[in-house]
Amino acid sequence: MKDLKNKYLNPYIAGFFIGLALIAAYYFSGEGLGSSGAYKRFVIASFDAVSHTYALKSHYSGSVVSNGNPLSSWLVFEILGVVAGAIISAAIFGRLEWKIGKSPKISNKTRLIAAFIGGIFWGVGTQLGRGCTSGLVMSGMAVNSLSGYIGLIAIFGGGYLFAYFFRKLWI
Amino acid sequence: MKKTSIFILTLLFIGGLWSAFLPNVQTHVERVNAKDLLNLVNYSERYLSVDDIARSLMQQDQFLLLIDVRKPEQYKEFTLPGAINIPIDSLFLQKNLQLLSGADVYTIVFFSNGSSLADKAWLIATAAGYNNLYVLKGGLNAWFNELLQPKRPADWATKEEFDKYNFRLAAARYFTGASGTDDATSSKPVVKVQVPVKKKQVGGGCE
Amino acid sequence: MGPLYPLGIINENVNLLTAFFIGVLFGGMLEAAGFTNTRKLAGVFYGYDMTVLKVFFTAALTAAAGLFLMHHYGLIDLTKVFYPHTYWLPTLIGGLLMALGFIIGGFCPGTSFCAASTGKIDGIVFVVGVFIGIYFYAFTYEPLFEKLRNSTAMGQVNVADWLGISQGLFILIMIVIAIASFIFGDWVQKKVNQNKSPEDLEDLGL
Repeated sequence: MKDLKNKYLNPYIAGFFIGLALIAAYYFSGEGLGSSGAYKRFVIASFDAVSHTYALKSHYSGSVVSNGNPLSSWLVFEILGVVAGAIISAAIFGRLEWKIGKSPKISNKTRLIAAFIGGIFWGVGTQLGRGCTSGLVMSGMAVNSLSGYIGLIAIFGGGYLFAYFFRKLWI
Repeated sequence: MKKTSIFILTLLFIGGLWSAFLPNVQTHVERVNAKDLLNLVNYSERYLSVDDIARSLMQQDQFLLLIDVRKPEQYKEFTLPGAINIPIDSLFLQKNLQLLSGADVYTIVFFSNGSSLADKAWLIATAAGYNNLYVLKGGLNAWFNELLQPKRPADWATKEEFDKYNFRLAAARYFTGASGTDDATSSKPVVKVQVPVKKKQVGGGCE
Repeated sequence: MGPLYPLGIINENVNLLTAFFIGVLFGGMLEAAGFTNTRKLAGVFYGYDMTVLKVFFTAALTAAAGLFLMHHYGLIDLTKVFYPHTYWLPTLIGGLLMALGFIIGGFCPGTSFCAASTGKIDGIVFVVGVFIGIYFYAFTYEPLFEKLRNSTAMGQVNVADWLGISQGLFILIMIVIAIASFIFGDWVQKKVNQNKSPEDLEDLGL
C-alpha cells in the first residue's frame, strides 16, 4: 500500500468526473455543487437549536429557518457524501492517517495558526460573496453565470496577488 | 502529456467546438421577448389573495414585504400595514432595485387600488429579471370589499366558504380594531394558523 | 427530461439520496486528485504544482459544455435550475477575502471537509476557522454586511450575453484558454521544480 500513498489520480480524469458530478447535480436536483452553503446550514442549525426566535429574527438565518429544518437540505446531504467519498478514496490510496500537511520549512504550530486564520477569511468571504470555489465559481461557470467568473477572477487573481506576501508559508 | 490526459482534453475540445456551432439559446430568464411576455401575462401564480396577505400580516410574518405602487399622495392617505411606497415610475431607482432583488429572502408583493397597476409593476420588474415577485389580487378594493366587509355565505355553502367567512370576520376585527361584541355569543371565528404561502424554490450553490 | 426534482419527477427523499451519492463522487475525486494535501492546493499559486488549475478548469468546463449540449438536445431545461444572481461588488470583495484565506489557510471549504475527514489536522483546524468566521459574519451581519451584500445587484446575468457573444462560442473560447493554460502550467511547473530534490517533491506525487 505504501507506494500508492503519494500517487494521485490523473487531474484531467478527476476533473472530468467532478464535471459529471456537477452535471448530475443539475440534472437530478437543479442544484450546483457547493460546500460553504453546508457550513452555513450547520451554523444556522446551531442558532435554531439554541433559540428558534433568534434564528427567525436574524436577517442572516431567518429565511432559511422559516423554510423548515435547516439541515434538511440538498447541500448538507451532498457534503455528507463528500466526507464519505473522501474517506473511501483515502482508504484505497492508504492516506487515512493523522497528519499535518505543510511545507517542510515551517513548524506545525505556524501551519495550524495559518490554517485557522485562513479558515476565518473563508468564513466571512463565502458568506459575503455568496459561495466558495465550488458553489460560486465552479457551479457558476457550469451555467456561464457572470458571478462565477467574477468569483474566479477575485479568488484566483487575488491568490496570485497575495501569493508573494505569504511565500514563506509555502516555499 | 499522458495519453489519457490528451484523450480527455480532446473530448473537452470537441464538446466546446460542438457547442460553438449550435445556435444560441436562452438558458435563464433575464431578457424577455414578446412570446415570453405573453407567457408572463398569463402566469397566474403571481397572485396572492387578500386572505393570504391578511394571514401573513396577522401572524406578523416579517418576511412579507408589501410594496404600494400608487402615487405618494394616495399612499399617505391609506395603505396596508407596514407597506412601503415605490411609485411605479421610480421602480428602477437603484435603491428600489436592491429591494426587489431581496426576493430570495422576502415575499415581495405589489399592490395598487385594483390589480392592473400592480400587474404592470410586476410585469416590468419580472421582465427586467427580478423573479419571485407577487401581486395582491384585487388590490385595495378587494381588501375593503371582500376582506373587511365579508358577505355571509348562503346556508348551503360549503365548509370552506364558511371558514373563509369566519377568517375574514376575524381579519376585519384585527385590522379595523372593531370590538366584535355583536356576535360574541355565537361561534367564535377561529384564526387558523397556517404557514404563509412559501414559494417553491431551487436553492443551490452556496447562497 | 431534467432537472428531475424541480419538475416533480422524483420526490424529496430520492433527491436527498441523490445528493449523497453525487457528494460521494465529488469527495472521492477531490481526494483522489490530492486535494487533501494542502501543499498541492497552494502549489498553483507558486507554480510548483498545477493540479488545481487542471482539475478545476476541466470540471467546470466539462459541466458547462455538457449542460449546454444537454439543454440544446432537450435533456435538461436550464431555465429551471439554480442560476446565481450577480452582485458584483460583494462577490469581488468576498472573493478577495477568500483569496487571502486560500493563500494563508491552504484549503477551500470543499477540500477542507475532505482533509478534515481523512485525518489531516490542519484541515480540522481550518474547518473550525471557517465556522468561527461564519459566526462572526452572522452576528455582525445586520450592522456590517447586509447593505454591502445586497448592493450592486445585476440580476441573473449570463457572461456570454454580457460580452455579446453566443454561449457555445464562449464555452469554446474558455476551453481553448483552459487547454493553453494547462500547457503553460506544465511548462512553469517544470521550470520551478527543476532544481528541487526528489524528496522535496515526494508528497506531491508529480
